[in-house]
Amino acid sequence: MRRKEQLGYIWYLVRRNPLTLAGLLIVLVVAAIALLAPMISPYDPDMIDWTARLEGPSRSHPFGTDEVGRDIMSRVFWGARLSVGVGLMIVGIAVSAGVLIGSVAGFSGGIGDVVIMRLMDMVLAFPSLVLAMALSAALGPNLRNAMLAIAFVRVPVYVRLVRGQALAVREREYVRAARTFGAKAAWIVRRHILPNTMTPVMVQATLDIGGAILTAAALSFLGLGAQQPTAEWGAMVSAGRRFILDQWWYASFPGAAIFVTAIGFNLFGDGLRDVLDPRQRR
Amino acid sequence: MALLELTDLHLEFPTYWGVVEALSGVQLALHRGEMLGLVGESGCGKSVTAMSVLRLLPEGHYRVPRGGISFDGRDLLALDEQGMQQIRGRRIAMIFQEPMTSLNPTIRVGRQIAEVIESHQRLGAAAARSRAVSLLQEMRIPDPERAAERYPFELSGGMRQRAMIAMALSCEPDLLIADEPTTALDVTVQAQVLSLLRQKCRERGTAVLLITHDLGVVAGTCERVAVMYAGTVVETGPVTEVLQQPRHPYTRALLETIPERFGRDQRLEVIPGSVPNLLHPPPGCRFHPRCRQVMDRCRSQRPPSFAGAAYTVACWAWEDLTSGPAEPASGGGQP
Repeated sequence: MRRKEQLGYIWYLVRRNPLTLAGLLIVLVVAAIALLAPMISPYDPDMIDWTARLEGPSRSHPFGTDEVGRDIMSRVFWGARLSVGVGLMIVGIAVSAGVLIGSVAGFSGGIGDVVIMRLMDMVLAFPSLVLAMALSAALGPNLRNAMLAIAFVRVPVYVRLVRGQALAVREREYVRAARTFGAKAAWIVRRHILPNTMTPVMVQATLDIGGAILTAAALSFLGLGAQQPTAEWGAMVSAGRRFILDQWWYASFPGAAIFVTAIGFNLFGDGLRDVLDPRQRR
Repeated sequence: MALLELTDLHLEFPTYWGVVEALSGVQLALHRGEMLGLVGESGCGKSVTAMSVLRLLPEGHYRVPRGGISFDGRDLLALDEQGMQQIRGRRIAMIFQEPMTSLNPTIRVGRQIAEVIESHQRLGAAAARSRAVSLLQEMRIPDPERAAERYPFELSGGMRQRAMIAMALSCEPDLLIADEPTTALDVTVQAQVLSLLRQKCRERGTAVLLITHDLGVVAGTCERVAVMYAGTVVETGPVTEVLQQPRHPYTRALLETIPERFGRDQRLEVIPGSVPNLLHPPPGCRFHPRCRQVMDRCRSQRPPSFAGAAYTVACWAWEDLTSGPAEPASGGGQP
């Protein structure tokens, strides 16, 4: 009952801001497409049809076909699966590692904190896309390595976020109280510090999903991520680039999918920040 | 034997500017089941004393060059961190000034109390929970079942402080340290919380070290009082005796500053001078620059703690200040 009231309040805040609502709708639609791809795709995304090469949008192929006659709409749908999954995975890895490292740095303090934070500064000193490209190329260009590379360059963001929060929460009276009741350090971090650092992490993570999808597509576009003929948006744009002047639909539909998805997650993340950050509540 | 005994406790913080002598020769004894008030101005070392008992000061940032803390016959300064965790909560519990922030905002009140119980006693989750609820009830929180389901922000300050007391008493500690527990509460709530604290600790035989700067709180709650000044205990004794016939010049001056003792038109009494900087404490008696009865001896020699029948005074003029027979307390101060 109380939970329901809370949800009602969050729903009210989301509804009040139309952009957040738009973001949420986009995220839901993309998620639904990703989940239902096998059912709603008109064709097998990898089915080659030499009789229908590079056909423009039509009733039978709403998004047209590519140079070997594969249906672009089906490939965009299946690509949603891959892209959303990759985005979630990247952020999941970055958040887990960042929260772990950041809470250790923030709670322990001292020399460990200094060493960890200087290492993070080193990672942050590189332009993140360039570093991700270099890492991905060094590990060997495939989607899994691209994911790891992008997650790696995002870790410092979360480390800094969690550490800053942990430093503040560590000095709260209830942490001191927990110590006076004989709580162990690990328990204090898990039970008292982490839950109170999660709000900004959640906001940052939602905002980052869009960025992660974008970056993963960028790496695939550059040939450092998913390889042809995988139905991945970045790889499809890359393949369609050769035909962009005559067959606009080939690169445009996967490109639009990337654009819409990234915008959706960003709008939703922004709105979530307004809802979850009590300091900004009016 | 005293439950808690601080003998000639010195504690210092090395800082960039020099060594701060936060405590210099604190002499304090607290007996089982007793309520002792520890009063003094801000910065006189009340809280540092409390934190040093639980060893909650930042490790590596302070030194104890001399003195000892013994609790129930054990030397707390010699215990390792694990040993201290056994003491904290189970034998000595503490409550703080700010009931607003001393509960974790993300955990329901009942759960927070139950967690402390679970961690110290062999009780299952359900048993710990019902014990938490009965403790809340004992603390006269209306509808304890529902209060246990609430988050801290849904409770008032007085309720939160009562929940904290419930948590502190949940493991039946021998000693409860209350660091200005009612400073943040308004006066009527303050009286309720204090009388509840007193009653519940009496019932359990829990000793209480009540830290406060409010002599009124001490008068209404404690049996004995210790007055601190600049890192030393200047006077101890039964509350009525200390408040009615203060012996140490500092205690006297402090009592004279209480406005109720004077008429409406009179100016508030103040103690001339200011609290000494503990980076460079004055030589001899720490109160001598502000003392009205200062003697030559006070400027160079620290007075030891002289013990009378039920009191101790750290002042060279102690014989003039008292009339009963007395002899210097053992181990107190330095010659």
